[in-house]
Amino acid sequence: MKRWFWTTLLGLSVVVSAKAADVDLATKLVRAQDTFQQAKSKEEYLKAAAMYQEILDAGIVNGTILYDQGNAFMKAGERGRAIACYRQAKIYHPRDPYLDANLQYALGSPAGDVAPLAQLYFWRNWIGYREIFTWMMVFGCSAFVLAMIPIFRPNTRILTRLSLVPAAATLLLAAAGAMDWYRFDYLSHGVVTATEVTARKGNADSYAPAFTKPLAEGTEFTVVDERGGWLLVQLPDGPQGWIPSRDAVIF
Amino acid sequence: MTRIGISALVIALLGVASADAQAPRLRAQVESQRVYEGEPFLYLLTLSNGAASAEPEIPVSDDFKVELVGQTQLMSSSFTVIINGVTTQSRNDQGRRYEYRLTPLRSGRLTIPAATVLVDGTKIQSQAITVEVVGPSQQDIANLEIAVDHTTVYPLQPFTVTLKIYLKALPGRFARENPVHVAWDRVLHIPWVDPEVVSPALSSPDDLNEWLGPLQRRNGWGFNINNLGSPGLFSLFGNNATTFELAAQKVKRKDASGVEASYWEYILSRSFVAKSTGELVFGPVSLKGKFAVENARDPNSSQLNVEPVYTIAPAVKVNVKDVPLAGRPETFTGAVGDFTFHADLTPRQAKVGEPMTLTLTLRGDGLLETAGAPNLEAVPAVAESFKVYEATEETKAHERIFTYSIRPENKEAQEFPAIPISYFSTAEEKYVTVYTDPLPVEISAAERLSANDIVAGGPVRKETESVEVARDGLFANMSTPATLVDERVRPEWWFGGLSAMVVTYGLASVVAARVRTRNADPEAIRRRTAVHRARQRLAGGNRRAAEDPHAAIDAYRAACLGLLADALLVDEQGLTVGDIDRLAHRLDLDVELTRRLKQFVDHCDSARFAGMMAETTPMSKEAEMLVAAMAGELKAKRKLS
Repeated sequence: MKRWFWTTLLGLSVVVSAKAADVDLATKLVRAQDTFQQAKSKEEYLKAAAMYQEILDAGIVNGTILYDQGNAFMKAGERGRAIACYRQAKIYHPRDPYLDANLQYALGSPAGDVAPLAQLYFWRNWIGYREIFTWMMVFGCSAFVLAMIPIFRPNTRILTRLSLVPAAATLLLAAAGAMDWYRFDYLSHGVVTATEVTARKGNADSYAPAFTKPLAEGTEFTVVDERGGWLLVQLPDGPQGWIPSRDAVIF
Repeated sequence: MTRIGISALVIALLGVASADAQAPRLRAQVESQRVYEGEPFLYLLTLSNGAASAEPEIPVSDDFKVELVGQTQLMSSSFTVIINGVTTQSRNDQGRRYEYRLTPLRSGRLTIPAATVLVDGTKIQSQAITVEVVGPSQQDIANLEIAVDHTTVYPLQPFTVTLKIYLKALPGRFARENPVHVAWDRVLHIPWVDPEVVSPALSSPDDLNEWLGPLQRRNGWGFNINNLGSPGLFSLFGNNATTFELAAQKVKRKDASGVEASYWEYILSRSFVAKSTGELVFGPVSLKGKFAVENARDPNSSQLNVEPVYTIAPAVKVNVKDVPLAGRPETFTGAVGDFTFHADLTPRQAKVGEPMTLTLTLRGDGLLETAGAPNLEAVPAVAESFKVYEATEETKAHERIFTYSIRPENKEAQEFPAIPISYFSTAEEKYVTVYTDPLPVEISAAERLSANDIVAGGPVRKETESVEVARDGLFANMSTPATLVDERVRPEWWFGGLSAMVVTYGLASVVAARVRTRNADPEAIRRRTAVHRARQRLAGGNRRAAEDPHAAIDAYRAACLGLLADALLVDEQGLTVGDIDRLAHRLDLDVELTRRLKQFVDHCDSARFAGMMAETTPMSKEAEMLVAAMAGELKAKRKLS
């Protein structure tokens, strides 16, 4: 009886504390929204962006919060950081037209994809990262159930053939999920946040510039290497150069 | 005097004192009765036993510049006297102390007039104080000069105030020695060490530590400035007396007698920026200290005399004025200083109607924060070919950036034209207009629908204007507490789940295949169903026992022998009692069980063939017991499954 009582109490306290954490995050979000709505200066918009970052750091990473943070950075004039936020939001909400519109506004041009071999990921604008795995499991479970029944009931062998369809879909989605896993969790992407930065042929200011023009704020790249406060970046059309880490944001 | 008399006198005096102490009083004090012209000193007014309705008034005097430094609330105090067991208490009520900085403007014996203050409608007056103000001495050993590079400036235009100190070179063989390389007191008083002393709207880009820190010395060389570093004064330079060695060079200038002599020139400069219009007064600056001079009695002596010197430099004024209205061009948007203007446009190639981003950067030194974005639509070439949206503005170090979203409205534009902006040049003191470089662009026609794409039909409708979605600007935030869901993906968990399903399916398939294979073997089937079949025979025999006892006995016999035959996979037809030993031996059956089985089969044969009548019921029970015993033993020995 005593053990039952204490176990129940412990479980309730876990639930209550979880709920308290939810309320705490909701309160933070409301404050962040209020700060954004009432902001009039760059510093106030940056403060709102920092409040959204607190929510992200608390483990709530989702496209909507990233989108709002991107808006705060745009209002604060930090175009590079805004682009980084919008790109991260697109991982989760690739079909969101408002996100697309804001990203396009930040880029000043239609939002293309900057990842290498981006055309390989033909689904990137239709289905989000989480959705790929959700559908993979849906088809996978269907194939599993359809394939397991004939094992116990031999007169239902037609179901084995039927299970090939969801199994094929599962395989395709698993391949897409693996490619996205590589793209989002293995490759690092970045955006230039300085007004302009000169990319160099080596990781020091003593090296000659790598390109004929400096890279402007908002230039997107993928990170190839990182050394001693410098990043080796690759631009969408292929060329590479080194830039100081402080002049970019990585995600 | 009697003891009583003394007590009465003390009590009376205390009574008078306490009564007197209760009346409001304003008392004036100075930190020194001997002060120096141009050098501020502390003047205190203490109001006790009353609360003033306003600050005390000090009559305006041409002899002193008066500045209120601060005021302090005084706590009440009381004292107790016990005489001959009689306790007397007296107390002062709360008061206030006012601190002023007075700067004498001339030398001589000067009187600080009495200050007055209103307490509960009654005017209370302090005492006047006379001080001896020492003026600068007539000498040519040390001289000061204050200079400014601009006597008229504009807000946020930097200007420099320079103090030059001239010390006569030491005589004789000491001529090459720097006079400040002697650890004697030389105190400079410079008002603009703290810019706010000059004006609250004045600031310096360097803080005190950056300005004087590199000049600091601990060996007594140089000048003491404003007593920085003296014990008891809060100082960035620590609590030890410190001096500052200024940059020095030897120059020639005329001394008091008009003869050119060698002097050491020391220079101390500081830059300032005024934030608002008005007049700024820098100075006066005073220097007092001891300086080595020639021994007048014996000029060839190796010993020098020491002479105290006090000298001041009169103040200089700087006028901060607003930029003129006259001649202000329309392209002036508020910048004051000296600037260059740059433009950038991305992309350079676009179709009609597509967005482009124009960035204009005003770069240089001066007042930038209030500069507004240029009006692009005032440029005819822009208005003809581009639609311009509202600009965003941003200020960074020495840059003001204006960002516009624009759209080409036709393909005629070959370049984006130069954009003008005007600023007020503080160097030239006039308005200057600068232009960006024109930017080549390539505008192509927007895509059009062909005639085949247009489906005709229905009544002709009047054309209505279609609403175009604006591409610029941001869409609103979207997050709500309901959207606080972690959308992160952990692919390893998803792939792990999928792998678990695949493995489960694989294992189930293998097991099922093995089971099916096993179940398809006839011998395995026979063994698996042997006991069931024996029981079925027993049940059949029991059913027929009443009608056909012989058939029942045959069934019981077949059940037992059939079980043996199934276990060994032999033909049960033709098995007799004589075969039981052989079969039992192969099956390693229990000896007693074998004997009972033989006895039962023999009994069945006798009943069936020898015409002996037998009760089927006990035979049925015996048969059931034998079948159960054999089944248990054969299963234990894995002869049956």
